[in-house]
Amino acid sequence: MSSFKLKGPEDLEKLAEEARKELVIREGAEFTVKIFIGPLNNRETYRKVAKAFVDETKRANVRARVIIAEGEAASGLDPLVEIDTPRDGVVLYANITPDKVPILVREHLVRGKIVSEWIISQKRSQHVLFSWH
Amino acid sequence: MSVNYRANILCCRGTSCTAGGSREILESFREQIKLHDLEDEVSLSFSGCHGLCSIGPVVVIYPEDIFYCQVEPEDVPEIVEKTLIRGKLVDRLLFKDPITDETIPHYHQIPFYMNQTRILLRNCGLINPERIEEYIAREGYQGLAKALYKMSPQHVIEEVKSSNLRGRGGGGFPTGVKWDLTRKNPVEPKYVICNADEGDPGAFMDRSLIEGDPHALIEGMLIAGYAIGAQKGFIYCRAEYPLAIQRLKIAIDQAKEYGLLGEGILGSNFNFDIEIKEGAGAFVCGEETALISSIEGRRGEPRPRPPFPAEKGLWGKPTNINNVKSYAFVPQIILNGHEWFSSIGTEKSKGTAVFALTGKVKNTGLLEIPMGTTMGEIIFDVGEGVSKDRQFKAVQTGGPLGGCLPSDALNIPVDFDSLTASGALMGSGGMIVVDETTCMVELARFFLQFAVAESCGQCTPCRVGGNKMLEILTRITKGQGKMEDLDMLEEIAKFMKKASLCALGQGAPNPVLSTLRYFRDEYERHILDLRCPAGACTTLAPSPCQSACPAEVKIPIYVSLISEGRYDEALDIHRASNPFPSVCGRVCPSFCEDKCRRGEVDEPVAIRDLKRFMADRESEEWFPKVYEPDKGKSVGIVGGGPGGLTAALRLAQLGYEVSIYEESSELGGMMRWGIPDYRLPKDVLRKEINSILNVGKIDVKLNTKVSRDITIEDLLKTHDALLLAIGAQGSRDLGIPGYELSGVESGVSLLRKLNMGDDLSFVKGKRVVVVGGGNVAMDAARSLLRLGAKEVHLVYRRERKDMPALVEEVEAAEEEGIHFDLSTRRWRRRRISAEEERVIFHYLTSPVKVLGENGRVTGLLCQKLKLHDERGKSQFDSSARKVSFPVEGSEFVLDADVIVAAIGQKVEQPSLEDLGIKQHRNGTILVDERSLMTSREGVFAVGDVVLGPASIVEAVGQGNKAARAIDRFLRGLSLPEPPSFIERPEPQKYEISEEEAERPRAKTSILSPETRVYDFREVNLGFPNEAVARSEARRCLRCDLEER
Repeated sequence: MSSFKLKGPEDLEKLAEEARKELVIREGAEFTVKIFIGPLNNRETYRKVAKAFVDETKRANVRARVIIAEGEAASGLDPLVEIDTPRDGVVLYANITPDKVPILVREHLVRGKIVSEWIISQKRSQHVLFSWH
Repeated sequence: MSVNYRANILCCRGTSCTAGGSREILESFREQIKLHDLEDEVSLSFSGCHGLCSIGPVVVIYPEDIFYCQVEPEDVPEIVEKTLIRGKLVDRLLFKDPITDETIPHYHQIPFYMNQTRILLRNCGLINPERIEEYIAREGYQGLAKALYKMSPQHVIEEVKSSNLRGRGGGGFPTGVKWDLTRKNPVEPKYVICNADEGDPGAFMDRSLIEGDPHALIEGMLIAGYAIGAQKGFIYCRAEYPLAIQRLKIAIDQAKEYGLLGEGILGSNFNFDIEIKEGAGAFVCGEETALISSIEGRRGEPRPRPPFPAEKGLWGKPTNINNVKSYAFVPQIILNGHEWFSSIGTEKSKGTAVFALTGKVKNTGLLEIPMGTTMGEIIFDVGEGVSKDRQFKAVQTGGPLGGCLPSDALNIPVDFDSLTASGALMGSGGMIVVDETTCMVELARFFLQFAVAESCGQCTPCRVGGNKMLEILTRITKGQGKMEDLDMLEEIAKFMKKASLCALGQGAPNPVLSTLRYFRDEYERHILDLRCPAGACTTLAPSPCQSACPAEVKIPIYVSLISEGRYDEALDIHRASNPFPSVCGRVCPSFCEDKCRRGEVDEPVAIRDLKRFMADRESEEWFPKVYEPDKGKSVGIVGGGPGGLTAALRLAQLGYEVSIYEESSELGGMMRWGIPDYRLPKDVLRKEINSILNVGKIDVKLNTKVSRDITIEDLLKTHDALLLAIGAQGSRDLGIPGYELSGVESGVSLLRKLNMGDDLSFVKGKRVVVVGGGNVAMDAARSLLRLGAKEVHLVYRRERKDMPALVEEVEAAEEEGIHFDLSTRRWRRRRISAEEERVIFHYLTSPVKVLGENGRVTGLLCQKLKLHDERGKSQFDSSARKVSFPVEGSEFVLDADVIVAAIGQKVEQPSLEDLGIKQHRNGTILVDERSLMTSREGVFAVGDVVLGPASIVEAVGQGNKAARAIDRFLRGLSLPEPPSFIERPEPQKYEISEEEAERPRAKTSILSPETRVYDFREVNLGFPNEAVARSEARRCLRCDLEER
C-alpha cells in the first residue's frame, strides 16, 4: 500500500476501508468456510479450492474466514466443504472443485441460497435439519 | 493489487518474545513458506506483545486463531507442515491451562484473555505496530478526524472531562481538568509531553503499549495538542526501551508520510510535531518536574510545585504532561463518546486499568480490566492463582512507592481511591504477587533499597531518611534488630512523607509502612525470635526447608548423610529435633518440601520419603542419651501424644523425672487413634514410642483421665511443673437439622473406633456420605472403602484445590476408585477408571439437612454451590480462598445409611478458668507464644490444645520448646528464653553433579489401587532400594552452605 497525504476524513475512511479487508482474516468474520483435508488426499486440490474461496469472497466483498481443517477420508465425496453462516447454520457440501466455488460464494454467501445439488447435510447448532447420510 | 492471503502468521515481537528468539522464528517461517510454495497463500507478519510474556515466543495463526506458545525456530517446519498445509494442530505447542491442565488451542478462549476488557490493549498482539495501515484499519486516527472536523478544542476538553478519565501515571488527577488549565493559560507556545519513563521494577505496561500500538499514543497526543493549543509534543522514553523507541520513530515517520503529523494535519490548519527524548533511566525523572528538567538538558531533579507545569512547564511555558496510557485512551473516548467510557469502572475511577501482573502468579503478563475489578479476581481469575498452588501472601501495587496488601485485601476493588485508602497505590500499574516464601521485611527492604538508590539526593528527608530506614531494615533481616526500631521506622517514614520534595521521597516509605501495618508479626519474629518465617533471610534461615519445619530439623545435613549411606548418624541429627522419624516419614505434611528450593527448579527433594527410608534402615534400637544429671525435680505431662512425648523425652534428657498421664490404654494420641494402619502401621508407632521411653525417667500412667481419676490441682501438688498436651479430640457437629439422628457419626470417632478394633462390620454393603475435605475425611472415606461400604460419597463445600487434606491422600483416594464430579472447569487433572468407581466426590456441595425415618438416617439433602455471587463476582475469605454461594434450586438427595461428619476437630476439655488457666472461646488454651506458659505460673501447654487441630511435627516443635521453657522455669531463669540463631554449618562451595541436577524426583513403591482397597496393609512401601534413596538425597542443593 503506497502512502499519500490524507486530505480529510474521507481519505482516511477510504484508506481504512481498504486496510480492513486485510485484517478481516484476524478479526473474525460473519461467515466461515472450512475445507476438510483427508489424511491421504492430494493437498494441491484443497489448496486450490481454498484459494478460490479467498479470491471469490474478496471479489464479492464478503467477510469470510477460510479454514483448512483435518478431516477423515470420505471416499467419493472429497473435497468436502463446510459453510457456516448465522442464517443457515452449518452446511456441508461434497465434491467441491475450484470451478464450483464462485457459484457457492454467489448463491450461498451473497444471496443466502443453499446450493441443494451439492449439499450433503445441514445443521443448526446441535440440531440436524437435513442430511443425505 | 494486493495478494489475497488465506492465512496470516503473526509472530509476537514484543521485547520478551524477541529476546526469546522471535526474529529467528520469523526467518524460519519465511524459509518454510518459500520451501512449500505458500507465498501466495500465507502472509507472515509480527505483532506487539500479547500479554502472556512468560510463555513466549508466541505465534498466532489466523483465521484459525491458533495460539502456539514457547515456539522455537526448530518447531517451525512442523507448524507449517501440519497446521498450514494439513489443518492439524501441533499439540505440544498449544497453551495449557495452569489450573485445569487442559489444552486450549484458540487464542481467544484462553481464560487469561477471556477475563479481560481490552480497550488500550485491543490492538496489541493483533496488528503489526510498524504498519500504520493496520492501525487505521482498526479505527485508527478516526478520533483525531472527529476532533479536528466535528469538535472545537474546548468541546474536546469537555468530552475528556465528562469521561472522568484520570491520569494513569499513578496520581489519578483528572486529565480533562489538567488539559483545561493548560489551554486557559494565555502564554504561548504550549507543549504536550508524554511521560514514558516507566521505571518501576516489574512494570512494563507503557513499554508494551508503545511496542504494540504506538499510533494510539501519537493520536492521543495529537488530540491533546489540538485541545490545549500546542504544536509541539515530546515523548520522554527511557533509553532502556530501544524497541519502543524504534517503533515510535517508525510510527512518527509513517504518520508524517500520511499527513497525520506535521503541517496541515488531515487537511486541516492544525500543525503538530512530536519529538522523542531518550531518558537516561533515572527513576526520579518519572516525576514531572524532574522530567521537564531533563528535557531542558538539565539534571533530572524535581522542583517544588506550584507552579505546576500547566502554569510554568517546559522552558517556562504551559505544558501538559500525561502518561502513555492516559493519552492512548483519548482517541477511543473521542470516537465512542464520554458516556461509553464512563459506563465502565467505578463511580470515581472510570474506564479500565492496565496492570503488569508479575511475581508468584501462574499467568504473568499484561492485562486490562475494568476499574473496580477486585484484587482477588485479577490474581485468581485472570492470573489463575499463585504459582505452584502455594499460599497467597500479599500483593504489592504501585511499584516501589506503593504498598503491600495482605489476603484480607483481595475483595478491595482496584481503583484509585480504594487502593489509597488501604495503604497501597494504583501507581502506573505494576502488580507483584508474593507467596508464603517471600519475607515481607526483605521485600520492604528491597523496594526501599531501590528508592534510596534512585533518590536524587536533593532533599534531606529523602536522602537521609531513606538511608536510615534502609540501615534499620538491613539490621532486622540480619537478626540485629530491636523492637524500638519499629517505632523508629514509622517515625522516619511519617517525616519523609510529610517533608520530602517529590513523590519519590513521599512514597518510598510506603512499602515499609504497609508491611508494618499488615505483617508486623513478621518483623517481630525477626527481632524477638531471630527467625524469618518465610525462610528467605539467609542469616536467620539456614535453609528454606529447615526454617519451614516446625521442629527445625537440620534437614540438609541428614539428607546429606543419607546420600552417603550414614543412616544412623542421619537419624541422630533428626532425633535431636524430632524423635519421630518413622512416624513423620509416613504422615508428615512436609512443610519442608513446600519450601524446598529444588522445587523452584523441578520438584522438591522427597524429604519425607528419605526420612522414612533412613528410619527403616536403622541398625539397632535407639536409646536416647541423658545429657544432664538428675535435677531432683519432676514434671507432670497430661497427654501422651506427639507434643507430650517429645517434651517428656527432652525433659528426661535434661535430668527431670517425668510422669505422663494418658487417658487411653496406649500412648500416641491422635497418631494412635486417628490414623488408619494403611498410612501408619501400629507396630511402627509402638516401636518409635518405645524407643523414646528407652530414655528412662519417664513414668507412664495409662487409663488415667484428668478430672475423672486425678485433678490438675493434685498434679500441681505432685510435680514442680505441669505440661498440658491434651489434644483436640472432639468433633464439630454438622449443625444442620437431623444431625442427631442415629447413623450420623463424627470422623474422629469413627477412626477411633476403627483403631480401637471395634466391630465396624455394620458398614459392609452400606451407603455412606462423608462430609469434609481434610485428612480425617480422607482417612474416613478410605477406611470405609476397606470396611466394605457399598458406596462412599464425599461432600466438600469448596474446590478440590482448596482441600486441606494432603494432596497425596486425595490422589490416593481417587486411585482407590473415587470419581470426582466435575462441578467446575477447574479440575480435570486426573481421570479415574470408571469400572472401579464406588465413591462419588461432590465438590462445591453443601449439606443442608440429614433425612431420616424412625430415628435413623436415610439420606443427606445437599445443595450445589458456586464461586461467584449474583453479580458474577468472586469474593475471597481471609485465607485467600473463594467464598462459595448456594445455587438456587440445585438441591439433591444422597441416599445414605451412615453419614460421617469430618468438618473439624475441637478441644473437648472442661473449663480450666477456675484453675487460673485462661482459654480462648473455642476452648484452646491461651499461652505466651514464646514460652508456652499458660496464665498460671508453672503450667505450660502444647499441641492441638493450644494450636487447634495441627500436625504431629507442629506438636513436636512445641514439645521441644516447652521442655526448654520448663527447664528455665525450674532453674529460676527468666522466661521466655533469649532467642538464638539456628545453628548452621560454615558456608562452603557445593557443587551438584550434572546427573543429579537433571534427575527427576524419585518415587516410592505404592500398592496398586486394585489390591489395596480390600485391607489395611500399608500402602506406601517406601523407596524400592538404597540406590534410589541415596541418589534422591543427592538432589538436595545444600542451601545451608550458602554464603549469608
